[in-house]
Amino acid sequence: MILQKNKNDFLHVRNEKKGYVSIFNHNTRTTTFLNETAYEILKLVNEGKNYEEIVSIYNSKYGMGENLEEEVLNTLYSLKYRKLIEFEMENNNISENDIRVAGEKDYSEISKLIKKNFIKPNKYIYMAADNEVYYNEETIRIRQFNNYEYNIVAVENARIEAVLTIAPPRSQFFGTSLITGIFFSPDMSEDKCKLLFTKLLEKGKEYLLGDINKIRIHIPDTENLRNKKELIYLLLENGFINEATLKNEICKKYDLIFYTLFI
Amino acid sequence: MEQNVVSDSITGFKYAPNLKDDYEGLRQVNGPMMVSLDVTSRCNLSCIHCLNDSSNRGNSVYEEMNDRDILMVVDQIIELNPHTVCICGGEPLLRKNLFDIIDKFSQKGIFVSMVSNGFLIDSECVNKLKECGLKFIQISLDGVNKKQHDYFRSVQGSFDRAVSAIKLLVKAGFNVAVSFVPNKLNHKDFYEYVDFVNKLGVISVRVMPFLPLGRGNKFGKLLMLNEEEYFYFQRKIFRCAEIYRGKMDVEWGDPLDHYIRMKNNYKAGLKTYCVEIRANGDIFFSTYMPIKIGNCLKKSLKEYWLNGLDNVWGNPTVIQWVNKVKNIYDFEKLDPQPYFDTPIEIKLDNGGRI
Ligand code: SF4
Repeated sequence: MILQKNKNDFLHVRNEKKGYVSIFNHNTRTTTFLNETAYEILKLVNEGKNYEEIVSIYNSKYGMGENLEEEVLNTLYSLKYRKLIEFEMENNNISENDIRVAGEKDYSEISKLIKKNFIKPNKYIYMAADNEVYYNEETIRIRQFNNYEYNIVAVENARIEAVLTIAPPRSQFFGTSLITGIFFSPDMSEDKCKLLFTKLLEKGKEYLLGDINKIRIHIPDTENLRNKKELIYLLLENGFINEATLKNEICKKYDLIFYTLFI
Repeated sequence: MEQNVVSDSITGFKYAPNLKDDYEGLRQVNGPMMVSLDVTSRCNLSCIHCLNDSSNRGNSVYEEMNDRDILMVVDQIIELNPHTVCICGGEPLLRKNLFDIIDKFSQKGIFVSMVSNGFLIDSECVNKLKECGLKFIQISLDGVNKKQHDYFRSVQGSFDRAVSAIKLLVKAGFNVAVSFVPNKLNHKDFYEYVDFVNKLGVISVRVMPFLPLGRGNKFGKLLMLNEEEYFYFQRKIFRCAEIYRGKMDVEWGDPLDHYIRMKNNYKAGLKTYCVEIRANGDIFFSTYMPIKIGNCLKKSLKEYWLNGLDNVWGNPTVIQWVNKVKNIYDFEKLDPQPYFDTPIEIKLDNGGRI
């Protein structure tokens, strides 16, 4: 992964208390806050350090913690989302032909992939219905057959590795298409998950009805939003915007955050 | 006076997720994120809806500071190092040392935006604005119909001058926004208007409801849209926002939004986001609230900040006033009226927080 500082934007930085900094980007006219570690990592990228070097600096500073690499990577993605740095994901050689809409022969495998995630969830997954029965082979089939929810799949070596499920526009979704599921093989690498999601989404758009220009996803904000941060970055990096938050939705249990992609 | 140019795009974290660091960061700030500075209360126009009663003679409640004093206030603002400063008025271009003021801020890397009616902007002025480092400018343009705009703004030729200003500014590479106040005369032409300004090359259309405040309250109320007209008008705004998404922002600014947001922010421990300084150096924290917290010529802005301006939204008097305004029509009941009457001055108490 080659990291680059964002060359084009002029940033105004102010030091705040407890190591925080606030940064205003003159080009995008947005303010963002970074904690001490994130700001340190930003400075390292600006000095020309690459991912491995940053990890090793932190390793020698704090010792190899279990989640060190993951934390550095998360911070880099967060900096990228904030348009403070740039980097490209490595190409995982997924060809266009491997992404397609599911058919009669696929439901059994889709069901198995989803159920594996009930045991060991991939951190980028999203499922609207937290209920295994909902993901039985027959129920998946019935939903797609009746145009209630269709599945876009990524196939590699004749195996389904990732699934995006989209519900076509209905009045209860305010006339927009709704993403109802994002699933990957539990062990899939982060970069590959991200690449496949972008490709699945591109394919998904092809199947949308002509007059619909939005895809929306409703993310319940249970206790701590940080639990959902990987998924949220995935959406934001693919052009979704935070459209609204409904407080105390679903039996007053939690907030519901709408992310929407205009296409 | 018009709406601040960049306040909403930064306060709302509109394009950012609700990330924990952003919230925690807002608890730790050493100063406001943005400051708006009225460099004058005089204006060459005399709009029917002007909420700060600007005209040639200025506003008697907010007598203008002299050149030396305003530069001192500029230094006070720089000491707090906000990210953005919005130059407002009256008409800022009537201030003689305006370019020096902008220059001082931009030398420090602060993003400077300005609100203007565009009447005085010619190519020489555009060059000067460019040289002193202005980054963003909002021009008031209330429609596509010359006669209506000129009537609304009370000076003939104001439409042509505003359009010419936009063209010159866009040509010079400025980011230009326009503001639009819907009223009985112009609301039906909104689609045409958005198309027109898009072709002129503006990057943002900011629409604000007509407020029963200042002259808007005294003289312009008959021009306010009724419920049904607002309903259809709002739909047009949202439609335009989608049509132009990615090419030009079409925003519907709610003047009550910060009342709700800042009240909740205070409860969550977040600090005051925006500070406003009037032409006479008086310090405010909301355009629409007749409460001042002091004057920059008496004590420095930093002293006010450290003594409770950072937590002013938790002040009991402020909370009382916030609770008085539940909808736009509540503004007209405010006594004293913001801008027209002498404001109330409150004593800072650090909002009860240690
Ligand atoms: S242009 Fe109109 S609204 Fe703006 S300050 Fe002048 S009189 Fe007031």
